[in-house]
Amino acid sequence: MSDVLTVRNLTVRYPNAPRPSVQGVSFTVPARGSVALVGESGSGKSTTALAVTRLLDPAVEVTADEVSFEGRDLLRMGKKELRALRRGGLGMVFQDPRASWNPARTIERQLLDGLRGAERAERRERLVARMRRIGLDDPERRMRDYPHHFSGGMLQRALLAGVLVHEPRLLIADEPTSALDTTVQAELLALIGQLRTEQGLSMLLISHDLGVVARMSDHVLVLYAGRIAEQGPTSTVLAQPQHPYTRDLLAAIPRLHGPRKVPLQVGRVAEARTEGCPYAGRCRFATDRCRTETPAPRRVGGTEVACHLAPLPDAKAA
Amino acid sequence: MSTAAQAAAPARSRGARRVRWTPRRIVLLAIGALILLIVLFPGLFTSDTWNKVNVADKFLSPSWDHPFGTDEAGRDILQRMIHGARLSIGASLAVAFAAAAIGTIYGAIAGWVGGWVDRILMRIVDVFLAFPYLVLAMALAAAIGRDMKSAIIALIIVWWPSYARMVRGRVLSLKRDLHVRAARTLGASSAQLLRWHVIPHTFGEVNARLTVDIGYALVALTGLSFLGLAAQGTSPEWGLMVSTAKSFVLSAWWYALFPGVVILLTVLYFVRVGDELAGEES
Amino acid sequence: MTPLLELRDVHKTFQGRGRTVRASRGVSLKVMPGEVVGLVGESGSGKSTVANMALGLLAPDSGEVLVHGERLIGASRKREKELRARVQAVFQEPLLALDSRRTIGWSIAEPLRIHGRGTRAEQEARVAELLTAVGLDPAFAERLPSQMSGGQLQRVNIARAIALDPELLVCDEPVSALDVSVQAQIINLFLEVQERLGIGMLFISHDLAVVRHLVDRIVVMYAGRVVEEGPTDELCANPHHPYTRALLAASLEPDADEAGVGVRTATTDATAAEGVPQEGCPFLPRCPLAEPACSEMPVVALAPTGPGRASACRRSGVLVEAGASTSNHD
Repeated sequence: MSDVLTVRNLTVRYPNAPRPSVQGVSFTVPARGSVALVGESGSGKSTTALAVTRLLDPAVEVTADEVSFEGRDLLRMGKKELRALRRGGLGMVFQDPRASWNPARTIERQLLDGLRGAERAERRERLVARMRRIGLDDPERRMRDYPHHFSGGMLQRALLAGVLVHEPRLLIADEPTSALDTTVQAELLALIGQLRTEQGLSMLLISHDLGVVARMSDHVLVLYAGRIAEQGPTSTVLAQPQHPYTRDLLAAIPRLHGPRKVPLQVGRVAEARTEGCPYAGRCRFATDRCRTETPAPRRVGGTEVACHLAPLPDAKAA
Repeated sequence: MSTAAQAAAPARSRGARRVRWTPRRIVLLAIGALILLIVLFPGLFTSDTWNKVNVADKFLSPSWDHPFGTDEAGRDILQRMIHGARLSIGASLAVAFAAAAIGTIYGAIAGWVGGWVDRILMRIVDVFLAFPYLVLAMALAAAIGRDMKSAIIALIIVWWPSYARMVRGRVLSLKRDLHVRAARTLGASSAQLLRWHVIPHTFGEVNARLTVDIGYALVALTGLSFLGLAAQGTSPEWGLMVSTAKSFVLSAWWYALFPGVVILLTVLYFVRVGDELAGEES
Repeated sequence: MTPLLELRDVHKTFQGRGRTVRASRGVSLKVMPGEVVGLVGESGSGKSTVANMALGLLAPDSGEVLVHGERLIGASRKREKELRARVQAVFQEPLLALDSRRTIGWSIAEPLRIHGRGTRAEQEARVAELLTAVGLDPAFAERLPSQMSGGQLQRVNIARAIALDPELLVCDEPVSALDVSVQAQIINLFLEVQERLGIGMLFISHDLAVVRHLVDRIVVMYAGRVVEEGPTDELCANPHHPYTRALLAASLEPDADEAGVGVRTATTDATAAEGVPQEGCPFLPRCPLAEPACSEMPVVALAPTGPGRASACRRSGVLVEAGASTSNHD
């Protein structure tokens, strides 16, 4: 039992949607491991996280062969058990630091509410220690402030402290730094990295930013239109991408080194296809087979890729 | 053929938003069409002798021939009401539209110009809104001339300030909207910005309130008639009919009842349509 | 040659509820004809305030904002209109920049209508031409903004901004709200527009990599001040201000050799960044190179540090030398 989170064949469909938002997604987060779901809007990355944490509206149809946290079935878990889990083994951090806080209550009150058991003084002590650990100066005083006194980066740090005080085994972080400035982001990511090592924490990271994914994960799933296009060890996927979409995505990012003022490589403009390979409309290499037959995931090189054409010729040319 | 097709499809379709036609909306629209038809062509629904005095038929209770009964001069109350619709509803429409137009322009200028101009213009509005509007309208109607025209003018005078305040608030936020600032960078003048990008965006809210106000204006107007401050003499105006009927309330119950009920239903109709428009807006 | 746009010692302060935000504290910058300048800074740096002042949407408290050597605010209506035709804008939210009640064709024709360029038929032809130029089907003219994607809408905004053949585009975070692949398409479109029209640009973004890709010269802002400027390649290879260095170090690139390793942090404790000192060096509380003497400087002026380069740092000499020694090693 070394996997913290197991997801097998997850499919999520919103009412009246033409196609499922997530289709046949499987992955595991090993103990102390970090898995990233990466993709653009509409890729299903956030929907996957919401389905796993049971935060979707009940009208949304969620099916899976298995979604389990430390061997416990998350999809059939009762409300009470689920709530206990969210205050315990399963911690969550979301994108918008402001939206996670109630503006009318102090940081301290909001964090103490989430803490169970023990004397108030003792709980407070634990929190203060935690806040100091995440880099808040003079926590006794500053914790009595309201959220608007805090910067976005500080709020996200405080939220992280509030989550980690429960000593979770898994942290689900949905775009945790996307709303922050570059330098603040770097500092927060470094902090998450340190805390993960200290607490032996596993992580499911959801991000659109391959730079963040490169630093923060050891396994990555590239999602396109609700399906896994490619997955594998992060370093392998980024160095030798086998799926045309992964390549296009990497080539589309402007860099701080290398040529500039030259057009970035992008796939063609087209909607995701419902028949065949979803990327076939945009893919430079697409054949007739791609347009009719949905590719099944295969092992190619170091990654598992859902593409008929993998291995692609000359990975470096992309 | 191809040139004709091109000419017929210029890039100028005015961005009409798609409306969802639910059964309720279709019913509301049908009633609206009927009201419009009655107001424009009352003769279609009545005989030529609708206003003829016929003492022999006076105070007939409701029947097939006279669904709403007859009045003290033997005239059919339903037919008189159909002809009165033009006066009552037509005047309410005039009041609501004129008040909305004046208030929109006034409020838009106050909100757009801002500063001391806004403060002065809105102080004037506050003065109007400080009085109960019906009392003010009664005083004005009495002062101007105790007829239909002066009642309409009095109601417009008391009614526009509420639009001015609403539109000013909307314009204050609209002028900071990105699409307005973006149009300014194109070089648009204030008049162009107001005409193209600001005032049209207040229409949604204005229309919703306007529709409800047609109903309320009907209440106010028939009220003024009832008090003898608007329609006079033998006019088939609804409020005046109720006013005349009150003397016969014991002998001819239908005389006051039917005009009263029709006024109530008409008001409810416009309020309902207004709610529908407001819902569409949000 | 007269600069297309020039800001001279511009100050702008916003008074909020009990809070004073000094968004611009003596900013000076120039964009010459055909030049593409990038303005980089994080939130609160004042870069959007600069954009709004450059576009004449906001009046400075003091200092001069000049378009072709003339003030936009306070000019006669006729002159203001002429000047505005030369400077056009592209904003961050492509949907909000367009009037939701107007069709795409109407919006693109709007600048032509305002400036009375051509007959209605000519305007329609020009709209079709512009749509094609930004890679959209002319049939899109009939659509409403709500019927289009973010990338398509930003193309529409670019089409509208170039409709009058302006000399300068002021672009305020034009690709920040877009997905990676859409962002790349719009970046390519900006490159194409630059090349084809030889247009000057002030390109404002928080993303140094995006700016680096598009511009000839970079201006870095921090807390309402310009802290460094210089030619793109030199500035990125060898920053002369500690803030620029921190910004470069904090940028994450998806390169495999960096995967799985911790983040390199060049900045110090972020809690110190909560407040920016009112006087002296704004970066002082976060600066890894700070010395006691730095806090005694009342003002740190932007001073030349090399050909075309300037930095507002007492200690930029250290960085200049460090840069020189690394390039000698190469």
